[in-house]
Amino acid sequence: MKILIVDDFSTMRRIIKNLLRDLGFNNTVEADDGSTALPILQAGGIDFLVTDWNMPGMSGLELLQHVRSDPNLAKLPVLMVTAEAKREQIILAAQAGVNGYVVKPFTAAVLKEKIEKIFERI
Amino acid sequence: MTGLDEIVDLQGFEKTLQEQAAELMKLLDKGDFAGAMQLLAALSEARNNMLYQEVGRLTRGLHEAIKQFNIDVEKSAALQVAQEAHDGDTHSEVSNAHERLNHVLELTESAANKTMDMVDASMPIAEELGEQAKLLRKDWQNMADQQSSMSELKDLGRTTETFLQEIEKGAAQLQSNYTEILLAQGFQDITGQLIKRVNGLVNDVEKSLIQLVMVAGKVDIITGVNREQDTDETKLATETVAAKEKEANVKGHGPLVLDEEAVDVVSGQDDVDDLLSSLGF
Repeated sequence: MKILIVDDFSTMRRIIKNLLRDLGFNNTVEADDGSTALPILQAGGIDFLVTDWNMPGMSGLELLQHVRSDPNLAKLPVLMVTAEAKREQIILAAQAGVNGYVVKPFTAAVLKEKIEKIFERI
Repeated sequence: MTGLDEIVDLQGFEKTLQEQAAELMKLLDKGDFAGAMQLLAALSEARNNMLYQEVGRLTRGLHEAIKQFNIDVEKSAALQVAQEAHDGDTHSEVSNAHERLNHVLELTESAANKTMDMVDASMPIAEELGEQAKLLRKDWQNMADQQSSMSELKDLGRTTETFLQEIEKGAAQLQSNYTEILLAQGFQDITGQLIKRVNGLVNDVEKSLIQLVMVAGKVDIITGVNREQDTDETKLATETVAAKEKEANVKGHGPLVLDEEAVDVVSGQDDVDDLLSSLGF
């Protein structure tokens, strides 16, 4: 299971990476925004995408939209981990086909629960 | 003409205008056109004087604001063109604020990394000690369950002593790591102070801007400009705000800072879950 973590803050990437490691996911790659994440995804081999929303360049929502419109990536599970908390935005993300939505600040337990829930459905 | 030269404020001007209008009517009724024209000329002059006065105030206010915030206009313009001009001398309040905020960014990042480094260093120590304790406990259990020879007891004693040494060492290491974590939280103090200063500047700028707008408002009244009728402008501004909001919904708003901002916002993960499940998730 190879996971791509996309966040513009290296500290947040590190926190998510550590939490994922604790959950038993050791194989992670990182990108600092949507436009650097997309080539990594297109190169293949990524099984799960964890992305922030608010990033310079391409935002997480735009990344999600790109993923869903690419036939090779359309089925990739995507978890949004973000400080964006407007109802309108959560609805936008749901419409764009997000698989899970975690608001920052979050706990390890919440992240675990959402990831497990996503994998249950696959 | 009575008192027209001494008008100092807008209210005074308004009052005089009313009085002089009545006077004007009287003169016209009497058929004194020369007198009426003189009165009109005097009123017009008074209006111009008021205008010059208020424009003067506006200009002075702008100068004061620029002086107060020590904004180097030429340098700021050059900075925007060149996108860099980090020579370290004559800094304006605003560029100081930029630097302060950048410093906040650096401090928070380094504190977060430091803390995580220490956690990374401490985890294996706790893990290792736990493993050793488990093994040693088994040895002690075995000893209690069966008859052990003297040499086996001695071996167990030595292993136990080594383990106790490991605990001592590990505890000292953990203690020092925890102290480092504690010290790393000092960023809160420094960044708090920096942010307070920037906040103060933002407040001052806001106050000065409001003052300028009030002075400019007087100029509007004297020149007969009615801002409320500039509907095209207002409409344009509203449209820009709406467009920005729409864009922010895609690009992201960033973390919420004030409670007042929290309009149509979820209050936490439970709220998100409720909303998503209502959407069929």
